[in-house]
Amino acid sequence: MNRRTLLLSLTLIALLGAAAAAAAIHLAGRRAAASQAAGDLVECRHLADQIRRLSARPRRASDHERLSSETSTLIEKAAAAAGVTGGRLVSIHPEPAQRVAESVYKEKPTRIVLRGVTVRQTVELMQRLAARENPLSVKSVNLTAATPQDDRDAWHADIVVTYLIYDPPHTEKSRGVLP
Amino acid sequence: MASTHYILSVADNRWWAARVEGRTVTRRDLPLEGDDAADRAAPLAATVLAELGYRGEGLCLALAADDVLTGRIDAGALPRRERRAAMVYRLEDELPVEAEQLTVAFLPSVAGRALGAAVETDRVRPLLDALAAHGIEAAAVCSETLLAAWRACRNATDAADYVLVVGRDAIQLLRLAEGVPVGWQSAADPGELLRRLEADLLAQPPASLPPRIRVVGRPDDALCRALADGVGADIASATANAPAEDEAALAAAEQLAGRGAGWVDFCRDRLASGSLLERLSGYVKAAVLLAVALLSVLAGLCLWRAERYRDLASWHEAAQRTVYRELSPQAGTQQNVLSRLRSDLKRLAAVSGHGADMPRRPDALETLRTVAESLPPRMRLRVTQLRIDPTAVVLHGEARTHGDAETVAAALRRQGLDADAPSTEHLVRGGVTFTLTAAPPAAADKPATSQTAATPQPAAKESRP
Repeated sequence: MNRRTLLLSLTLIALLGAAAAAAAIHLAGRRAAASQAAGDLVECRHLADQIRRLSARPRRASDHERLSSETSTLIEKAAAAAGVTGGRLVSIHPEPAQRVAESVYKEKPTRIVLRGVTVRQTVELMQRLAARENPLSVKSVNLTAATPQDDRDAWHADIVVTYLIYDPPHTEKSRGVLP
Repeated sequence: MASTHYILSVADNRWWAARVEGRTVTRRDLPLEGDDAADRAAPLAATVLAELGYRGEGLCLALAADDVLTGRIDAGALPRRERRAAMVYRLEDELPVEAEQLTVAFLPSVAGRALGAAVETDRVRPLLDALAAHGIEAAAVCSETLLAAWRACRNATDAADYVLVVGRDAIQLLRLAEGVPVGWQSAADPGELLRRLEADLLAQPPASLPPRIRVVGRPDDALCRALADGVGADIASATANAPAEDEAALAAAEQLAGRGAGWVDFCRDRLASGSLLERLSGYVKAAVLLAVALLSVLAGLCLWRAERYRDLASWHEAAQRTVYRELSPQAGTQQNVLSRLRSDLKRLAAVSGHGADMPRRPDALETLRTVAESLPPRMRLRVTQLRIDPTAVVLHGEARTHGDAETVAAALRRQGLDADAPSTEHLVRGGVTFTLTAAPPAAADKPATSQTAATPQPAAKESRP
């Protein structure tokens, strides 16, 4: 064996060593990927179970803003059921949804104006709106007594009902804008 | 670009080194006078070679004629196996040294006989080691005389009978047959040379007379006259009158270039094991083969195992997609199932109220119920306006006395409302109007609340008795 042969042999060994090292690195990467995939599968199953459990529970917020007509229909049906008829449901006025503080929710208010209704009718209307599967919440109510000549139990009511919309704010990063 | 080769000629006190580049020979003599010449030879050779540009590549070590023993053997009827060993032992009979102490090379056989050349291994080996210790590696160990003669035979246009190599101290006479040396004699002066030539002519007369002699080197007139007058030789120069050392250097360059110049190379057997590497050649080869095998197996195993892990990862990813399909049959194939499930769970937790930041919902209906229950049942009073919003409860009404208004406020406080002291005003027709302001039960610790201005403002209503 002369120097040239030795040099070639050492070169071959170096190349094979590099190949073995590359193969070992490849193996480590594959092993990590397999381990990650196994862990992900366990977490996926756990998440799926949680999703199934939560899906069976009633929702306290909507994941999208409803059409105004949906809310108006709900209110009209509740008013009719509470005996608020004959033009005493004066107006239903949807207002723009606004962010609730720093949360991931928006609040969608709808203002209801009633004229000449009894307290019982008002309360029943509010109970019916709040008792549905996707409940509206009575945010505020303003009862004002009607003129005594008309009826001693006649009231004008301004009611604001709201529902929550899950709408996470879009960050600058998620919009693809560099900070 | 012509390659560069180096030659180091070693003879007692007459060392020289040369660089051969193409057909250009640059030769330097080594000054080795003095008692410590032997000790200084190797480092001096390294110095001179370095000056010539030597960088450690394999050179040709040229041995003097005195270091080479020759003998002619019968090359016929040799055993099929151990043929060379048999030739060595036949040569041993012709030489005064035992075969075990020799490194032997044979010239091509002519008419069933071959000229063997040998060097005493124990004389050359220390020299090679000493040179190696100073960075001089010998890739070939040749006879300087045979190298020069090889040049003469290659350049000759006719079939010469003898080649005469004229050196500084001696004259070498080589008998040729078919262009290959078959005999080698050395003479110190022209007279001795003539006697040896005459004896050889008598023993083996050439096919035609006069004998044709080709000369390498620079013969003097006395030598030429002695040969011409003594045997009537046909003398011609085999080269362009260059010194024999230059011709040997050119032949050495061809030997190093792999063209087999000089017929013999003693760089074999123990003389080939000049370096530790060579001595450990077998072990090194075994180690190299073992390393190659181990690394190959290791790389193969890693790749095979990596493929197994890849299959496993693929199976897990397919299982993740199956989990998602079972959960959302209508959804298409998802690539990043885990991320999608996390997103779905986060959204679902938020809409179902399990999110940590679910804001407290205002409940004016509950507050209305609390206010209604808190009003004293036996007290005569009239409520003209009730406004409930997330931050305040405002009650306007009429009562009989200022104290009744305060009683209503106290009743509200008992129900958990943080009621302020009522403001009252006496009516001309009797009784008082009052205005009560209270905070709803949850207003004090209520977290995020709506920023909207959707709350209806209280309408100031004139009090009535």
